[in-house]
Amino acid sequence: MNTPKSKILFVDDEPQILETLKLVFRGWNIKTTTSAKEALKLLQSETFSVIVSDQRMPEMTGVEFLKEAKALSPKSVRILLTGYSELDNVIESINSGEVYRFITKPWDNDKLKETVETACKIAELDADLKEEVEKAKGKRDAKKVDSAVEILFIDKLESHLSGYKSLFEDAYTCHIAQTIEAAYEILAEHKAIGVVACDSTLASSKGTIFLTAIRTMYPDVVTIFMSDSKDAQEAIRLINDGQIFRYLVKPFPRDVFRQTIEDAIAKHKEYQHNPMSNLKRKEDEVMQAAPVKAQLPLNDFLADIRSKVGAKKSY
Amino acid sequence: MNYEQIRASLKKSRLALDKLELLEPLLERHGAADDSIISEALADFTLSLHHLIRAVPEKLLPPILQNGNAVHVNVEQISASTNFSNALAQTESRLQSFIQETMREEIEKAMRQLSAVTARPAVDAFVSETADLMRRSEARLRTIIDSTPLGICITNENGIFEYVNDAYCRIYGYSPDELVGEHFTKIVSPDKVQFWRDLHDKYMQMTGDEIRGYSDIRTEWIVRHKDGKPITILADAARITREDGKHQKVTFVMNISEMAKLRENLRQSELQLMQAEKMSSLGQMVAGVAHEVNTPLGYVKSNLQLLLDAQKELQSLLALHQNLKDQILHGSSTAVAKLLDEIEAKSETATLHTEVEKMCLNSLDGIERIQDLVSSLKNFSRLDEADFKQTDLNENIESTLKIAAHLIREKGIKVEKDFGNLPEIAAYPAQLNQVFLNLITNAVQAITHEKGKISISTKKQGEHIVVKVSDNGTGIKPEHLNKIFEPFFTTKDIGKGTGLGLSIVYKIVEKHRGRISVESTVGKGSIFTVELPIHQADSAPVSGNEKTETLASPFSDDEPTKPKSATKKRGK
Repeated sequence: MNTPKSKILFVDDEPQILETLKLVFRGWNIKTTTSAKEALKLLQSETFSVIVSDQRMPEMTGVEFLKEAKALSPKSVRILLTGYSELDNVIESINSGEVYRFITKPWDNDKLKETVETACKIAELDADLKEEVEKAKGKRDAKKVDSAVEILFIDKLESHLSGYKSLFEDAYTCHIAQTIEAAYEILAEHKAIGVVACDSTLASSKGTIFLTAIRTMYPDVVTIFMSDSKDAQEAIRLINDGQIFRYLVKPFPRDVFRQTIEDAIAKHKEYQHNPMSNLKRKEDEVMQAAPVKAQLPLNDFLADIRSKVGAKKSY
Repeated sequence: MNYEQIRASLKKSRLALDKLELLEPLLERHGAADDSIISEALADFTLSLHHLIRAVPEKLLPPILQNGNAVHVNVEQISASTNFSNALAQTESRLQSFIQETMREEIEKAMRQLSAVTARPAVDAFVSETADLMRRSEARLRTIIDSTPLGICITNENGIFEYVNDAYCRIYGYSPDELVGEHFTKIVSPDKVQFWRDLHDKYMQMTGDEIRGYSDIRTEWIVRHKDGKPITILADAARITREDGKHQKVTFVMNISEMAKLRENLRQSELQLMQAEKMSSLGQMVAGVAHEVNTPLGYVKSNLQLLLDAQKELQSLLALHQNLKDQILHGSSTAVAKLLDEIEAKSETATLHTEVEKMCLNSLDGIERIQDLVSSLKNFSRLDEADFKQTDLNENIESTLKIAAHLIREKGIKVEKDFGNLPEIAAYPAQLNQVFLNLITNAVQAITHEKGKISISTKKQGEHIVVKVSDNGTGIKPEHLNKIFEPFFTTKDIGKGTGLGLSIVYKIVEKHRGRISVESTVGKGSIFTVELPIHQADSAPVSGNEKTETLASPFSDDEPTKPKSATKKRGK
């Protein structure tokens, strides 16, 4: 592994953690601090490609810190390295869009290094491609700006589906599916689908991996997970493997759902206008992910994705 | 003037007059049927009048009787006064027997008339009417007694049922025939028979004064239905005394099994809620403890992986040195020079082994932290100890502080400890830990600013130990102060707290015969004061009322009725 040139900032209130991280990342361009406030000061004067933060810290939580860090340094790729993942924190970090990866302590040195390296490459890609993107932007905008976004809702219950549909059918073309299989076919048929909202009742390991798979096949599709199970590990998988856009805990108010879908549509448009704003795309590019064969039967396709996820050398 | 004679004559006249008056009703009824008696009485009267007139001086007589007019009566014929008296006596006795005879006839006649008038049917009507009234009254009384849900029975001095009402039979599932004549202990469980016999005997032998002040029977009891199921009753008794002086016991019972069941359900749900509260605080604690353990675990694991890398470095360096030795002994100088270069280059890059000591020391330190935390967890829960024992409160608070350390550190709160020299007290240490943890976490949660401070002090004050936990947090609104120990009172958001924390604290302190109080100023902070007696009155603190066996302590983790000893509950 070549040690990247990019600067990395580690924030953890435990000095021993930082001492160990210094040894793990020896030869890398890193800075460490035990204080989140100190870190925010550093961010004002220096640019870091990657920020790795602990969650439970005296001055502020990791999520709070990363939120402020994002404002100061939006291009930095943010990673949470935490001793305990409370669901609320995981969901908050997903929904506020702060986090690229959620890593729990104790970690594996090699996987951590792989993850940080990928994050560095994503950040570098951003910097390298910035000008190119700026140049290409006008062209892309002209091509895609007016395309109408379609939505796919996946839920076991027809009543839920008609409820979701009724909220949006005036403004958007809505598709519904009661099974993963049906959803897979609809997605293949309707390329204009930009947002997929999937219920957790379908999110057995199959459903979760399906949301991940959707992003692999259609990186610009924005995914939303609607759960009543409140499973922190599942949420971590969804963020780490599938870069899920939102994790909604049922029951939620209609307004929140409406806003979430609108945000997702806006996000999808942003991806279309500026592919380099899409972390998943960047990640795929960095990881040099092999193109997915769309004509695979669903189960083979999911098995393919699952094996890819399992074979990942990073988090 | 012969007064003597006048008085005697007057007396006789009066007697004669009386006699005539006595004869008057007879005269009216019989007419002149018995003239002779009347004329004799009249003669007696006239004669005595004559005597009177002769005794009175003539000039005192009315003019019509003067000049001997009054003396035309031939007094001589009737002559002497003695004869007169005899005659009087004779008429008197004859009169008497006549009256008696007449009266007897009259009474018999009246009786005959009476019996004729008050013929049998009338008497029967009267008697049956009275009986009917009594019957109706009794029936009414019986209806009342039989339709009341209150079971009523009468037992004699020997405890034998003499009477049972319908409700009593229904409550116990027997028919009256199955009970009357039997001993009343038929309705209690076999192992309680002696207890009930004793209670009954005692009750029957009490003096009237003792009975008045006696209320042991008036409470809840668990007795037995015919089918063997226990039933809960509310009972009371009264003692009555028969005409022959023997006592009877009247017992009133009400079946409250349903109520007892509801109460038990309520107790169960309360227990479940308390369990929920425990799990909720446990959940928060687990989150904290997991973080606390995973942090040292994080660098220990990472360090061990690094040590493996360092070991590989050293091994390859060692291999180079071995090569070097071989080349020096048997090889060429160029090979030696090449190896030396190689070793030098490797030594420059492979520097991880120089950090080995630090990594080991850090890791050992981390393992110590984990060990320390695990032992405070053990201390906190006291799973492997007797649950009621001599307890050092300072030690308890210390281990509780360790459990809550992450909460305190996270908010950058300063903790000030002022621990006095305390005697050990007999207590449930695990439960007191729950009290301290609750007070400490509340204090932490009350602090929203960055200069948080929690002070914990302990001291001996007279016969009590006083523990104070104070914070400089938001404080409690005055209108909330008197509610904070109530179950379900919470100012936290839904889902953030069960509202049971402080109510459990209150119960635990109460169980130790202690007191808890709170002072608070909004914006300045709160002080919670727990006072615990050094000497418990009994070997164990207050326990529930054991009478019905349903009012035991609300805590599932203790049974104060059972003897506490070191043999209880060994950790698994």
